[in-house]
Amino acid sequence: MRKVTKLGRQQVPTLLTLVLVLVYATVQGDPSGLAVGVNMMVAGIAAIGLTLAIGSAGQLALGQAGFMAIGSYGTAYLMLGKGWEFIPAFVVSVVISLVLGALVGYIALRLSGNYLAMATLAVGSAIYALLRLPGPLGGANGYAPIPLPKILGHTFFDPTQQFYLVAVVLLLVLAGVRVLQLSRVGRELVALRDDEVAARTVGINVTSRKVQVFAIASAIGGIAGAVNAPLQTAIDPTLFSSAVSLQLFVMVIIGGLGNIYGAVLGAGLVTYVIQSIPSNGSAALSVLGLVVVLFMAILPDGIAGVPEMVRKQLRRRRGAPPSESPTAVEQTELSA
Amino acid sequence: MTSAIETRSVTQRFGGLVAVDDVTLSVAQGTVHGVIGPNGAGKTTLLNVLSGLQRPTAGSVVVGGHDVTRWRGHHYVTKARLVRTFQTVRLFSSMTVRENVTVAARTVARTSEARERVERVLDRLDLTPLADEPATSLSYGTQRRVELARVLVAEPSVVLLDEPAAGLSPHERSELAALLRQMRDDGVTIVLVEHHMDLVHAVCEAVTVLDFGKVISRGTAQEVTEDERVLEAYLGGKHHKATAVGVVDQEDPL
Amino acid sequence: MLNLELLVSGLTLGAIYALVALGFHLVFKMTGIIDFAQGDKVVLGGLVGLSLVRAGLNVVLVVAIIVLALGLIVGVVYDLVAILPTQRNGEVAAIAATVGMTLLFANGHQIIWGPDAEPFPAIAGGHFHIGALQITYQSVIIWVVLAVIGGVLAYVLERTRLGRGMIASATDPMAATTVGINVSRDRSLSFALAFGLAAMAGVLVAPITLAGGGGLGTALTLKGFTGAVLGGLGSTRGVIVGSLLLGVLESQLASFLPDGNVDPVVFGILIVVLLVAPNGLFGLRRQRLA
Repeated sequence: MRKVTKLGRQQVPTLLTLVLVLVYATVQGDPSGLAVGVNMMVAGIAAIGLTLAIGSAGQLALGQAGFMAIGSYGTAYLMLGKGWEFIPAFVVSVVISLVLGALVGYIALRLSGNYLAMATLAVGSAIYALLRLPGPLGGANGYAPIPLPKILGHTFFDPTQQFYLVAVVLLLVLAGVRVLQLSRVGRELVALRDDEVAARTVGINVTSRKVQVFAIASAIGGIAGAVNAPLQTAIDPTLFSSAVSLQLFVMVIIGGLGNIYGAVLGAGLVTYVIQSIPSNGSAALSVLGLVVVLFMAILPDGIAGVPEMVRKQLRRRRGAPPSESPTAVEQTELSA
Repeated sequence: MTSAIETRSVTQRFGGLVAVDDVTLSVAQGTVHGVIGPNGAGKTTLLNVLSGLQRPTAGSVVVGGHDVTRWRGHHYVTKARLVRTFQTVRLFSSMTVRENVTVAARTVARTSEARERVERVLDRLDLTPLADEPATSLSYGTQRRVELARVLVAEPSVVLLDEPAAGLSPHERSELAALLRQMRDDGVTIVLVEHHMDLVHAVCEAVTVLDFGKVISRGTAQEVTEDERVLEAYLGGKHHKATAVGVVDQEDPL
Repeated sequence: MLNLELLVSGLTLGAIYALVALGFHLVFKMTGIIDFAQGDKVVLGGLVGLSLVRAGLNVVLVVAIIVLALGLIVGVVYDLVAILPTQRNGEVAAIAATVGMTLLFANGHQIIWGPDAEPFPAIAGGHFHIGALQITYQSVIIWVVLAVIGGVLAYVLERTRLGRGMIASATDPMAATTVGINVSRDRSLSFALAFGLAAMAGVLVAPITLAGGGGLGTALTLKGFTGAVLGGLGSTRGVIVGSLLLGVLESQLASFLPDGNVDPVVFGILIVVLLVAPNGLFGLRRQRLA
């Protein structure tokens, strides 16, 4: 019983997200509003994965759209090309994203910072370039018509039902990642983000944890793509270009690196702004670019960092000495 | 007497620099072994090699009878029960005191067992009242204690300490000495890199002196502080024997 | 058998990448940061050049020089506004900020110049023949510019006091200051050159790549970076040679890959080089990794 109440307490932010989703569905209940809502939530799911990689493990990953593409094209191909049901197609394509993520992670995570960011951007761009090749997946012209998702004989025709299908996936992913973050694995990820060397010396298997988190992040990207593809009827490579990866990166930054709820909020906000401002969203994205710079200069922890900043200010007022980061010194010693 | 940790002809090269040069060292089970030497003698590099953070260019490290030289970093802790601290405190900055200790406990023990251990260690080091404070908001001496709690919670067989007394008050230093003796009496083997000769004299059964990566002297604390070669290493020239201990103490950064 | 036609077009492509890559090199050498907006600086330069041409300036080398001058100024501002304030919050913050600037440049230019790529008049039309081989004057100009800029930079960065000062500033700004190096001047100079040269390159290559259009910036960023790491991000000559090599490789590959789609192969090369030889084929042996 105690376990149940504890779990309930942990999931309070997830329940708040549910409330927000319900409010949105009431306020923007028309088909076009719901379609925007679907896009917001799909971006939200992908951003949760990315924030796990960037925020929880400090991996600057810029290729998330590539993994969304794997999920989308995987599901679409299995449903349209192979005649599979939605659920098995969804599961298999997510597993493929997971495996591919583990593979990319295993190779790329020997790199860090700058180089990892560029390598993941390259992976995302390579997937995009491969999808543009003419072939069974339609190349640059796109892939269609993908059948609507059908679960237990029920087909999701109705936009409201489609909206709630994505909402359920979003909330499950949020709840799952929340549990992960509060588990031993989650604490170890925080430890290795704080100080990788110290993490190793308390017995954490740094390499495998990093690969695991990258694989999970990729799989969540795959989930976002997989749930979205059959709702869109047609998909094409431009939905997964590096520009999309960069947008996801912005969502995560604005939401606050490492905070999954912030990431969903950031994703919703950014998607909504892009879709509701005309002219291709260029203006919105330009402003968002500036917002990122501003955040990085003033609020490096994003919106989610505000409470922590207030707490720090209060602590300082109480007179505790500011802590020094030892990392730089020790790092030079190690590499001397 | 069996040795808990030993190095066999360990050499660590960085480009042209030989930081550790053919060091062979054996530490008996349940003793405290001091490693001293002037700045840049290779003490920290030796600890990095001993703890698996750096793979030596040549030679091997043996812990509890196993050659661990090729082991992966975290296995030093989870399999060989060897843990270490750093010259500058390295706590996980976004965690509380309890979380810092828990994350270390969970790599070697199951959930319920780990929880018990954490509370026991926090209590032993008088950290229970501070357990839910953010670790890096505490005073330096207290942060040092948190680091030791993280070490103790692993119930280690070998502990490597890199200048644990640096920055501590005389009172805190004597507390540290008492703790180290307690740990040794519990059968823990300790390798202590230290500038504070009073601490070395107080707790070390044996001392190895390094200079330019080489072992230049071995013996008890008393013996090495009277060794001509040691005095020369610290002063870089001829000098009077009687000043030895005093000179070494001037190395104290405080 | 190396196809000579392809070799010529490959060298031109490589020279374009090299002009992008030199910007990476300058900023990395000075700050240790990879500037993700590097390719978009090229695109901006091309578009500003296009506006100047449309305004009636028909001597395109004059246009290139004006764009270079503008780029030098914008580069200093760029650092002061976007990089310097964010770098204080760590490497990740600064990289994120360059990604932010990428978004601003890549989308902002579409507001002003429209979303589609525009044709740009060639600086020098026409071509000449060496035997059966046809070479455009356009290519020759790009090669000459690269040779001049590359030569000057290689000399300045690797042989003069200024170059050494920059390396010292990048390694430890505080220590550099204490030995009398003007760190902020060196820094401004690096960013000015990185922006100015990229912008000018934009004018020179626009007749080939077209001016503007979405996606061009990121493509140039990735290709330029691949060229840079292929040769060694820390070495001026390495960056140029690596980029030329990439250009040649790419045009040879394009001739037999389906649809000429070389990108997956190039990005594969990038990842392999980063893993296997992060200091590049001609890079300095001891160099900061990330």
